[in-house]
Amino acid sequence: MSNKHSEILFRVASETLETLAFLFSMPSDGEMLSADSGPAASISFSGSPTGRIILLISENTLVQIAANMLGVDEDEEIAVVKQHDALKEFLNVLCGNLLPELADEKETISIGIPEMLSNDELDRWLKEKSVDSKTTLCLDEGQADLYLFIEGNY
Amino acid sequence: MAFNVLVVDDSSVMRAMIIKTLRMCEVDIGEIHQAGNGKEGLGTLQENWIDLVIVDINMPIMSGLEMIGQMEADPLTEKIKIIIISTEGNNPRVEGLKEKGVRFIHKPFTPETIRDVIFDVMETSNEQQT
Repeated sequence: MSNKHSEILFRVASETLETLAFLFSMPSDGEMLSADSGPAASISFSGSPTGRIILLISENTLVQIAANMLGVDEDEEIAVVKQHDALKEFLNVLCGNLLPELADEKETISIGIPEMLSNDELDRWLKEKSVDSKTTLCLDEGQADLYLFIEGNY
Repeated sequence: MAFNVLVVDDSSVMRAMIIKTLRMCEVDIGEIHQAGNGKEGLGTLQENWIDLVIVDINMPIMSGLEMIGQMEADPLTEKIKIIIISTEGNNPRVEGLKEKGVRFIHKPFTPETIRDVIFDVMETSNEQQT
């Protein structure tokens, strides 16, 4: 597991969340969420490096992020499809800002389309693949766990 | 003169964020149209008078770069102002477009960044018309 990558992952994710959804987060040494504790999304990237980022989030935190991105009150009902859209967009922006920090600036890396992950798919990724780095963003209403997978040695 | 704007992004949340910012800009915006990918965007351009296209790059079905390529090849759309809003600023094709005058806004953006670029694009466009 790369501590350096975990630090970068936390910094880029917290800065992205702050600009995109006006939310401040803290790091956490506590437990990561279990695979069934909330929605999860994934985005792949290919080039040098090739890999994937997975984001698992508590439901309350996702509502908070979606409400802030849309500029609506948290008490206002936000359709699940909109919440998932907000989650995928956060992951997309995070990935686009993370990769230049991990790779050579001149390297062109293709970013895939973000997609929601089922509990089974998430469980498989976490059990069967080797995680390069991970971090947790602690927010008022819950937390967001990020996992970075990188193919080969990078 | 009011500007008609087309916002092309596969994320409905991002489209809503951009449109909300446009409405807060205090600039003369006319109609605002939306599309979820480049193909839908080109369809909207065929059916509506659009002055400014705000487009993401990474989208399913047809990417923003493919859409811009087709706009450049069509005499009816080649002169429409374009702003790319994306995370992928280091793409060589984006660098080429920037050199040709296409404006680029990096995600995540602040409302002030969008406002400033819109003002700039509209001012340039008005100067070209007078």
